[in-house]
Amino acid sequence: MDNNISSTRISWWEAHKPTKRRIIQLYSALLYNAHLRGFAEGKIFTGKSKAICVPGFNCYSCPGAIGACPLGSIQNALGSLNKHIGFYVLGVILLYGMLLGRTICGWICPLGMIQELLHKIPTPKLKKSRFTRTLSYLKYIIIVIFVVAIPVYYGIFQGIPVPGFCKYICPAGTFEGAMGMIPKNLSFLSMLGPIFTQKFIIMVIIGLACIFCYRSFCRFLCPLGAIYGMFNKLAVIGVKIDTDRCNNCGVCVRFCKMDVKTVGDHECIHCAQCVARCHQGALSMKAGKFTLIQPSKEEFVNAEEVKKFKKIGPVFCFIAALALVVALVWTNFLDPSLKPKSAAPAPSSNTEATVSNEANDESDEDKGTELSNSDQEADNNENTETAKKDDDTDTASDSTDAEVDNSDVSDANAEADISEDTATEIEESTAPIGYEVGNKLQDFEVTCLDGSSFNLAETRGKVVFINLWATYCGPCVKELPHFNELYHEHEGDIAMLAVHANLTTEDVNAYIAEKGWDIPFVIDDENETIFEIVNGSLALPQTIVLNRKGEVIYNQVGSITSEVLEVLYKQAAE
Amino acid sequence: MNKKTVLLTIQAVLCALTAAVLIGSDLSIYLTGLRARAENPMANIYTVEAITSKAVFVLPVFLAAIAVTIINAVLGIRDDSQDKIVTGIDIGKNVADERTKESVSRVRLVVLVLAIVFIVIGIFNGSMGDVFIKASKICTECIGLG
Repeated sequence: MDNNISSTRISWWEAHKPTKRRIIQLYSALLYNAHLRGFAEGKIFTGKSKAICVPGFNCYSCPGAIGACPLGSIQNALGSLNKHIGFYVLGVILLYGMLLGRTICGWICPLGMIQELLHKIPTPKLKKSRFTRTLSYLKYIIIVIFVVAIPVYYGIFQGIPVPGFCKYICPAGTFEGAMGMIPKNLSFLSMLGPIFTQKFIIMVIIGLACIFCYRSFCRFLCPLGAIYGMFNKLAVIGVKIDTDRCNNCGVCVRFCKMDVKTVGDHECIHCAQCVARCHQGALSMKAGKFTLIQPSKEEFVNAEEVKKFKKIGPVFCFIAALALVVALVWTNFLDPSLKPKSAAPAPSSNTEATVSNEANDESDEDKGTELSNSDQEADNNENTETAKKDDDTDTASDSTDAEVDNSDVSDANAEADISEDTATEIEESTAPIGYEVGNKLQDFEVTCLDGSSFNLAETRGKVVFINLWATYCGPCVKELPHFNELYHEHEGDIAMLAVHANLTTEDVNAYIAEKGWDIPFVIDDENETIFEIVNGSLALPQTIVLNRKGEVIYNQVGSITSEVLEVLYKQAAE
Repeated sequence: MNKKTVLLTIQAVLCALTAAVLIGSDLSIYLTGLRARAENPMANIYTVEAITSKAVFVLPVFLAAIAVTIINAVLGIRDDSQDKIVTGIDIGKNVADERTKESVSRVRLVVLVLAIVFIVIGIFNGSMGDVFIKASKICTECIGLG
């Protein structure tokens, strides 16, 4: 047999069986992503546990994620510094850093585990060197530019939330979020563009780098690792050195695959592989005064602690297993967010569906948003439509008179006339009620933030644009001016409604006023009635376009350009 | 060249080739999609058909890479130079310093108190709510879907 092929003295299983560290890595990856049905349904988890940041790198857009990504949360907090200071995220990072430091990277980071598994692919490997050590400082530059500067600049000075690292680099977002969602949401393909292309290429390059070079992302790019690294000397749990025993032989550092200079410095991920290498028995993995991994030399092993560990170990394992089972059961079957929020209209052949929102009235009133039922009976609609149409035309003309020149006025009037003519010709749609293209959208009525009323049934004869957005969604904020422009360009022929997601911690009214947008705005109610009616996704923004009959001609997640809006208007107006 | 070197080299080439084909296919889909979008602004850049057509090139290389990985794993072939000592790097010295130990304990306590205070303030000033909102309603651009 070839001498270079590894020795066969130990069995294959002995050589390849998962280590305790690998089991803990797998456990934490499963715990972070306990919402397994999310992978099957292509939907993210929205339970309350998402307010808790997990310690490791795990994208919150992963269909399985039950917690928030600390890095994404830091960027979002920095981007909204002008609204309030993100004390919560700061506190969580301090806590994790102080307790664990980069032990998180070595033991409970799913991305770290993926990198290690990729490195297991048998190829020639690049060893650490002075070059890789220099390259390891790149992650600090990334923190400054992508985690701090970009979110702060765009968030505070431009009013657009842009989490720079998530948007331009993060391979976890592409791998867990985008790749996890697309197979079950093929309509998401429509929004893939240059950012996806760029991030996909970055992901592939990082994956390839990890095969040849141990934990490439972790060592050279990961801002979260860099942040935790700053706490490494403080961390309660980690590999500790007994300086009385250490003879500074350097074996620990020379064998380590990370770019460390000393054990426990900012590059050390406390994987504890050096503990077994130390001939002096100077290294051990500790949690405070309690030793988790004893020194390699038997003479330095604390027999009492080993006994204690043997007693506590099974109890700890039982608690961990119980926690995982509870997380799996709760996030897949019991969490209140999994229950349907309202009587959402599934696509059906019923043309006279009504939405019962009586249960929502209380919460709607609280928010100043009144949702009420609207009858879909064709005769009533026609009557209302004709009466309303006259009003709309007048209103359109009035506003145009005040703001634009005479030629624009005549254009607007002409458009309104066309709309009026078309309205008389409009026949009530017989399409089934639903949210898919070709369906007739369920009617609803809301009171907008400016006090005006929006009744979908009364918009027959007009092209209707419904936009789902949120102040904290960058692409939403970037595309809304196009909607505003389109609304005024075709005033009288377009009915528009911008629906803000029900979750918000800021004053949406003030935000809209600051931006100067004047299309009808509404905040969805607690039960997400409008989101349910239009099949609002958990991703924003989303645009729904209805033709003059109230039939859906477009319902897509993703940002939209002014050019596409104009094309959609023309298609809907035909 | 011995068997180990040959197999490791084949594996390395296959991995690099898979990545190159993936990137090439992605760029090809993107550029074709851009041209389609120039003609029709409503056209999708990425389509199921385009992805399927490129998968024909990616899959064989990917499967070959997996096959060689399995062969290598069964034969126990790996680059064992990674288990050898690294030379030519700077190594720091571990020095006993009682004062540092004491100050670390003090700083640790301060950080712990600060962390708890910040978390409590964060729960009440809405920053915890912000974390929940951003994690529950995701922004498409932020996950590379934009």
